[in-house]
Amino acid sequence: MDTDNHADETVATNQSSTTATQGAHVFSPELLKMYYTRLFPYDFMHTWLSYDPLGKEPQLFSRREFSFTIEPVPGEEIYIRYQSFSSEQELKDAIVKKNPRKIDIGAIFSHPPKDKNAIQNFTTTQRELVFDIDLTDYDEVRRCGCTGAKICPVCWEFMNMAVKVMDEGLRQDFGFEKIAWFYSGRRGVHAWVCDESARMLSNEARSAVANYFEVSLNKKNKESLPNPLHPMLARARDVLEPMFVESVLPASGHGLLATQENWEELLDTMPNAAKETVGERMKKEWPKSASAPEEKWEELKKHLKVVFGSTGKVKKSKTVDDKEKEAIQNWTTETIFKFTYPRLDINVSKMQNHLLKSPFCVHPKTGRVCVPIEVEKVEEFDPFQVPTLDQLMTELDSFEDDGSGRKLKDWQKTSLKGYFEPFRKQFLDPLQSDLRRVARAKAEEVAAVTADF
Amino acid sequence: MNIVKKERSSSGLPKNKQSLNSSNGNQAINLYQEIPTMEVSLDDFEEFALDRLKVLKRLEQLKLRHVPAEKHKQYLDPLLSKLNNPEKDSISHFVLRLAYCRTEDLRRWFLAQEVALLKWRLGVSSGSVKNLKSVLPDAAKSVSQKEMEELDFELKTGTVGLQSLKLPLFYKVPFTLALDLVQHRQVFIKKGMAYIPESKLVHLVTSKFRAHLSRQLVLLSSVPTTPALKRTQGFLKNVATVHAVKDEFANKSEMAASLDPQNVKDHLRNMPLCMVQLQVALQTERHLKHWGRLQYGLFLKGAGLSLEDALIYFERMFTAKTKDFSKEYAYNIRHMYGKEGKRQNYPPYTCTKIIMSNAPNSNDHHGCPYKHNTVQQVSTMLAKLGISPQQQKPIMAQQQSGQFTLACMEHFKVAHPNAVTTPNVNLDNVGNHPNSWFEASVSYHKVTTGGGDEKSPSKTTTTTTVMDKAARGALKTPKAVSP
Ligand code: SF4
Ligand SMILES: [Zn+2]
Repeated sequence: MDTDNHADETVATNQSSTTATQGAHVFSPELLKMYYTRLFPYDFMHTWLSYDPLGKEPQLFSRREFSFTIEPVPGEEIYIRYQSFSSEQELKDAIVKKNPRKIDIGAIFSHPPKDKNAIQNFTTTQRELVFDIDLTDYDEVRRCGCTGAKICPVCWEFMNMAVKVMDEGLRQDFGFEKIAWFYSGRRGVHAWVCDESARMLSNEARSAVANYFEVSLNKKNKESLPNPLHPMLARARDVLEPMFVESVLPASGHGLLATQENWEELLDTMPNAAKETVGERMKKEWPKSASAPEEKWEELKKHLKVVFGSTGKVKKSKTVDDKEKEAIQNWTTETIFKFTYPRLDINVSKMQNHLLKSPFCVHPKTGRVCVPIEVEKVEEFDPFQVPTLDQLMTELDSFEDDGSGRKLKDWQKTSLKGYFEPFRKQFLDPLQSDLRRVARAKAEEVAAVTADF
Repeated sequence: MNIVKKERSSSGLPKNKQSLNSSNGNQAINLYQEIPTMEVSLDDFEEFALDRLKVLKRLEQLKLRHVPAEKHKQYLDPLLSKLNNPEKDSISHFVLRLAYCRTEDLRRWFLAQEVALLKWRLGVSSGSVKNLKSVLPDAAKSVSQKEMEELDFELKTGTVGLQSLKLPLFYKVPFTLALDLVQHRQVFIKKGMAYIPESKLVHLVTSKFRAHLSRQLVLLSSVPTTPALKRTQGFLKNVATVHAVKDEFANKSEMAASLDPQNVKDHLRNMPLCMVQLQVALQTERHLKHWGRLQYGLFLKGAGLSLEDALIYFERMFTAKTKDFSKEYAYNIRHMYGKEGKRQNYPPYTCTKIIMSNAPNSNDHHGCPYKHNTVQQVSTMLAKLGISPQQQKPIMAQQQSGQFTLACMEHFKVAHPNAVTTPNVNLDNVGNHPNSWFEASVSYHKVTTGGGDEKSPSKTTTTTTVMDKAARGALKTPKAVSP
């Protein structure tokens, strides 16, 4: 358990009573067993985690650590680490038999983890680069009324924003392509970066990537943004600002510029020179105007630019030193970031052998499946639409064969289809064909070299 | 490398290799990743090492003396020209690794000078980087003019610390080779490649070199001595303590010729208790605080340690808490010698001054032990110097009655039997001035043992011939591969 500090485990005490009662009928050992027997996509898991379309390296799968959280007696959780399986069937048998409340996935090791104790140099060899983003880390900026494990459609927007920024950054800056996003089942998202180059990263490199993306703008250890902005940050701002304007500023969002009280609070966060000039002016003018929050934002930016921009009025004045001017120029970006920049739990990303909850398992508190998220349609993803176990059972029961004689998998008969199929098409199939191409090229190279002799 | 018994050829090196004439030639820079695999005669083995050592010592002097960068060439070129041959360069480096891996101090010194040499060769100080390509990993590519133009904005906003508006040369390297720059967003990154300006890339190369060499030295120090290596042991031990170049900047006064960075601690027996206390603290804590530095530094100056040697000595000793000695302390020491600030030549402290001013706090080491320490502490110190409880009695008696300087005088008498009647030993100011104590002690030992400092290692430049000639034979260094 030591390497797994994912917050999901520690919240049993602070959940609201409504989720608890809701949990009782969306989740039960019997429902879970049904899910594991009929719906869990073992073939996806096996195909994906094997990274072996030609079937030549079965060890990548068999040396992978799985760990199970089981509950043999209600209220008594047992955590079993270092499980490993040599085939899809073995994996399925174990899961169905043990009926784990939670499955975690660890690293690929030098030997099958189940033999760990018999081996001397048992070390990690590979592991996806993973990211964990969780709404609990947004508590200080959530003004929708949610805290802790509670979420609502308004604060869920932060997750969409985080996914967009991270996905772009990982692709453009680091060149990663095989990125799978998953709903964590409750109030967060996970990213699994599966390119071989990502799987091979050392712990130091993982830390570097995580630190590269981390921006700490919370009150305690606020870092000041560089001026000019690093291209990564500039891109993040460009991605985030429209969403910030749309879902943070107005009353329908977090209301940042929707009421006098709120905008005065916001204006007071500006550096002094700006607060005393532009800030005071806005405080006088805005109560008289009926402008919308997004108009106020534009107006504020415009005034700041006129006065403090690089060609602004204040250029010749000696009253504002360069440092304060830079702080003012950065203020809008800092404000956007404070609310919307992804808040990563970077400790999850730093170690090869950090465990992370397995995709496709079920969150015991919500009964919802940890389904894949389509990055292109992340705005459309609604955590409240994600099927729960009892809903899935109902769907299975009421499924009516269309009589076409096609043999369907059970998940294809439920709303999981809408999540699983895009995952296969957009992640799994391309992953497989890429790996196949690389493997073939390698084989040809070898053949060519051998032919020379 | 194989060391063979062979009468040396006149050049000492294989003839078919063309040697390069200038130290600034387009010679590829060696990062010493591979152990050379050729035969070397034992004479060459020694000579090469000594030639390299001269370069390294010169580099150290240039740094400590704050010699301006533009003058370095004139001082270094004559010495460096002897290392121009790539094989000789490589062999000499690996021989010195063997010699300098033995202790932490030696490793640190060698590492610092080798990094300085690499930087010099890369042209870091002269501002024009050269030969950088030869030390870059294969995956590093220089960024084309066209790409520079396309990425102009990203490079300008993404690179921290650009000096001018005009972009310097950039290289792109896999980001995993520049983790530090990446994690602090110091550089622009695109598709897994970090775009690094030339100056930072040099830093990357040198810090990698440092890390690698440091690791290798530690590994090497734990390699057990092989019978083959044993035969070079004498030389290797010696070379690491020899002062190969007599510092041409130094001009010590005649009377002062006895102290140098290597033998300071051998003079412990010539020091009064206050200075013993400081030297011991320096050895154990690897640092001295301000007043301790002053009291001891001025004392050593008075005892004949030249400024250059003081800089070298304190840099070697100050390893705790010290990041950049030349920044943090060199000024301080130069100041003591009247080379900075008011340029006043400060005299060493007298006993009165030491006893009367600046009482030390509990974790200070300056002051006069008879005045500032307890009887118990003084007794312990004296015992460590080999003075028996019986012999301590007169000393302790004086201390207890508050006669600090007389206690110090008693210590002198106990440590130097019959000093009063020994000719040429001037006891007049013992108990008034620590340096008088020192001088009296030195002359006492000269008379009684026929010259104490003739054994000083600084005089052993010629001892590199100590190799036991008879033991010479075909030797192998560890991991050596026969050609
Ligand atoms: S009396 Fe003078 S020389 Fe002796 S220990 Fe005290 S200060 Fe040092
Ligand atoms: Zn909410």
